[in-house]
Amino acid sequence: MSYQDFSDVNHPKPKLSKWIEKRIPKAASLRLQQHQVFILPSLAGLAFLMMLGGMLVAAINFQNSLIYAVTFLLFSLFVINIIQTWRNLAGIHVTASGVKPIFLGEHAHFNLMIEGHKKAHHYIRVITEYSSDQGSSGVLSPTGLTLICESEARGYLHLPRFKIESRYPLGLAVAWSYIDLDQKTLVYPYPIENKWLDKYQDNDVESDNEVIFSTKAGVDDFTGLKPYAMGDGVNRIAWKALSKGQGLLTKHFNAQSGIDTWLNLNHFEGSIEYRLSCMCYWVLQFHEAQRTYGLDLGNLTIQPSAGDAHKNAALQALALYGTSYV
Amino acid sequence: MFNFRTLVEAQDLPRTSLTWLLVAHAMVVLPQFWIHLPIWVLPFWLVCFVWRIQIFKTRFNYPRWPLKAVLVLSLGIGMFLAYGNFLNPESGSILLVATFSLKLIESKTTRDGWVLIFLALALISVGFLFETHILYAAYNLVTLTVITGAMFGLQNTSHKGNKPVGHVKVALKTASLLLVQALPLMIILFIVFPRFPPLWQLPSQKQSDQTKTGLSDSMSPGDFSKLSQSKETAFWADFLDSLPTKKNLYWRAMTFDQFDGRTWRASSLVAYPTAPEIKKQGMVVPYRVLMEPTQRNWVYALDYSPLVANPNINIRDFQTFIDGRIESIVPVMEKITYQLDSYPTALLSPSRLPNTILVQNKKLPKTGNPKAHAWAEALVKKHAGDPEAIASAVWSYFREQEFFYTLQPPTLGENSIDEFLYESRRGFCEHYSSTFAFVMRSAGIPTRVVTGFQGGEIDVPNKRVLVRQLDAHAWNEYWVEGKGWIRIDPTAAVAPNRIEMGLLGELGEEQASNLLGTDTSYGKFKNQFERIAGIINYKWNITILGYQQNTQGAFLKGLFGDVSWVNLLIYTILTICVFFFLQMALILKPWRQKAPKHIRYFNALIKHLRLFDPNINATMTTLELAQSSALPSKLKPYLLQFNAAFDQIVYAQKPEPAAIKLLARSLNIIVRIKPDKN
Repeated sequence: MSYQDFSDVNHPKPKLSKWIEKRIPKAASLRLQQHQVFILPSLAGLAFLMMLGGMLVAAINFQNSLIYAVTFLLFSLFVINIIQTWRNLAGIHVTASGVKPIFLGEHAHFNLMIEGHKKAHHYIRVITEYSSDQGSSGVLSPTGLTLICESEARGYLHLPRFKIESRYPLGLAVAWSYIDLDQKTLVYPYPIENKWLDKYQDNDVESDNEVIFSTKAGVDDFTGLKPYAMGDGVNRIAWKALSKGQGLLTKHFNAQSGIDTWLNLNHFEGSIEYRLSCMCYWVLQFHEAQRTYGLDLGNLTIQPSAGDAHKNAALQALALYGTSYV
Repeated sequence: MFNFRTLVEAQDLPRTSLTWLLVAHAMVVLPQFWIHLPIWVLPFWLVCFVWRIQIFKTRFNYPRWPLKAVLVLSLGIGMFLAYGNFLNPESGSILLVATFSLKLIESKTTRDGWVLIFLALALISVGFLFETHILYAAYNLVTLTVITGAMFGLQNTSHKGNKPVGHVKVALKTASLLLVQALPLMIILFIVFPRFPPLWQLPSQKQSDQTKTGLSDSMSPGDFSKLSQSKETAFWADFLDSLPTKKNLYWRAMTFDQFDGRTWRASSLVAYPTAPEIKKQGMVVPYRVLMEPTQRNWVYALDYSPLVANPNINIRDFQTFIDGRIESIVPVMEKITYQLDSYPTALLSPSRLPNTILVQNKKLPKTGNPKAHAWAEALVKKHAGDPEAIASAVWSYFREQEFFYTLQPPTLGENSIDEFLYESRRGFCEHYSSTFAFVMRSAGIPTRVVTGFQGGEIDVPNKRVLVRQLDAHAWNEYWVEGKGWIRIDPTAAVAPNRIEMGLLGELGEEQASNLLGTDTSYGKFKNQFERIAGIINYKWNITILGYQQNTQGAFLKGLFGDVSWVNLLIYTILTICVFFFLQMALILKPWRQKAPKHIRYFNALIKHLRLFDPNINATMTTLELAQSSALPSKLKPYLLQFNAAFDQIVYAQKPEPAAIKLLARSLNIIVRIKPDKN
């Protein structure tokens, strides 16, 4: 398993990719300009031209004006089509519209929007090695497309430079470009269920900052109501108060006095990845149980807290442990 | 990133495309049955077509190999029964239709769709080989639109977003628009692209189909009367100067100088490829002919037309022979046009003719027709061998005796000449010319039969003559030293109206209108309609179909002056490029790409402010920019100014022109303030 940045793997031809990088720089939102759109006849278009060649030979040999006429009409249709296909792709606005973090083994859904400011863009296709998607956008009415990436390692997963192409209207020519939306998402370690907690529970050892975690329910003391703050658990909201017209209030309980739950890397066994996976499992458990917990990864410590933001910070720390982004 | 495996697996044939493919398939194949395809292929096609529709409606499955084998076998059997073999020009087009139909049954993926499209285009071309009528061409224009619609429909339809409603209709609409855009370049190419001569010689078509093409290589009694039933057009002639009267319109096609007792043929001497001696005298009548294909080499020329290079028309495809005939070097497989000058009162070969030719033109079979021989001998004695006197005597004989000109002459036996002269006395032009030549030859005067056409339907205001197959005629020429070949038409002695007014005039009005179908009022209307259609068709033939090497050369010379192959090719490429860029401009409309001024200024402002703070982007409003803390304070007054002007332009009912100027000024000042280099 490599911790490496995903995009490092995908540069087999450095010179060409540098040229592309320079021509079409990374941006979360961009508009394809003239010099950034390439166009060539498609395979069907080449076969079409060969067909026209055959018809031309027939026209010459049989001295038939009407076959000449059909050949020339189809040839000019081909020429017109090239212009139209190019025009269909040029000027398109592509904007990244978000991606959610995933756990290792899942697939990341990178969302993007295509939009035309002055004209509609039809049958636009975005392609990566792994997935593709197709859509049309109207004038100033964007369409959402999704590209899916597999996760191979934890850390940052970059959406690679993908190909955007169109064969509209007749499929005789392909207009394409390469776009890098500079999007990345976090890949958290895959949570593995483990019995770490039971082990420590049986020990009555109380040392500084060690954890004694009681699973007994109902021990907490109710300390009062406070106005709802972002991140407070939904199951802690005082609904009755709300129905009385008092607004959103959260019930607060005393955390177990003096005892903080710490997840320490050294307290787990196995390979680094395994340990991280185990810790990830417990982060999720604690978060669901609304417990406070802290994270100790040696070079990084996160003070005990609870809530969504804390969970995300913890997962991020787990994801990025050992990579260059920590 | 550049090692993409194509994700485009064979996609299923989209419904829109299949709809239009089926329509195009029917549109392309059905007329072929009328044009050239034998009718027994119809059930085969019907099975394939209906089957595919049922597959489309998911009622049937794709056929497995047993059914396909049965279809192919039945087709093979049909071909064998009809033709006896498989190597046949007709079998080529049958095989093409068969392939097209079989592929239709097998079509599943977009790749199959493309194959069907290519096959349809090939079939259209084949159709044009057989039929070039203007209506068929217009019909095929519609077919091409449908095929283009099918190409459009091949875009993968499984996608999100703005899928147009009524996709099937949109396909056709887009296709029509594209074709309209393609027309200008097509017209230019059609005019300018050089017409090369055929790359290889075609295998000769069936020689046996004589009755269709009209004149033939031989003349026997009854040949021409058969032809008289055909109203088909043989050729048109446009007269560029003066229009001759009908009785002077003798169109020469072939000469026959060999008689076997019943049939006249051309001996090898007729094809002596030296130019005939034509002593020009009298007026010149320039004319242009547009002739229907005959699959033969002969070409119609008005007596007497020397084959000289005409500055207007390229005549290198023709050759002339000693008998005054003009032929095309390659068989006339397509409509052609040519322009010649006729000298109606010229002399043909007035000075010495080679002796072999003179001898040939006096030859007669050794036995048979004794009475005619006797008569000839008597004439020689009476007129002391004077050719013109003898000719005149025979001619008068026809006129004075009771001879009849009829479409249904009785059949003649072994001594056909004697029987005709003394017994039946009823015949058509071939009888009279044959008899005349016989008697003259018996009298020792070189005489031959000339076949071609006489007269035609004259359109006086347009100086145009329409010559039909029923105008085919045979007449004679006899040779007198010093005067050359003198034309004499024995039919004129018997049926002068036929010569003056044409066959229709000769037959009498009742018979004529019966033949033409104008004896009813519906017939008259139909005739009028056909006349107008004929004029349109004529124009179509002359300008579009007849646009071959020679006419193109003349047309382009008129436009560009003298053109060689190289120049022509260069012009072609140049015009393609010019039109390409013109089309590009018209489609892309670069003059409309510029955003309005204030938007452009705004974008420029954003671009500049990014130097200070890279987070600035176009989603921010001008007010936000002015209030942004990330920007140095010295910018603030100008940004506020910009904001005020911008708001005025965007939100006011009538934007003031001064606002744009203020916008520009503020922008200029802001742009001059550069960030300090840290």
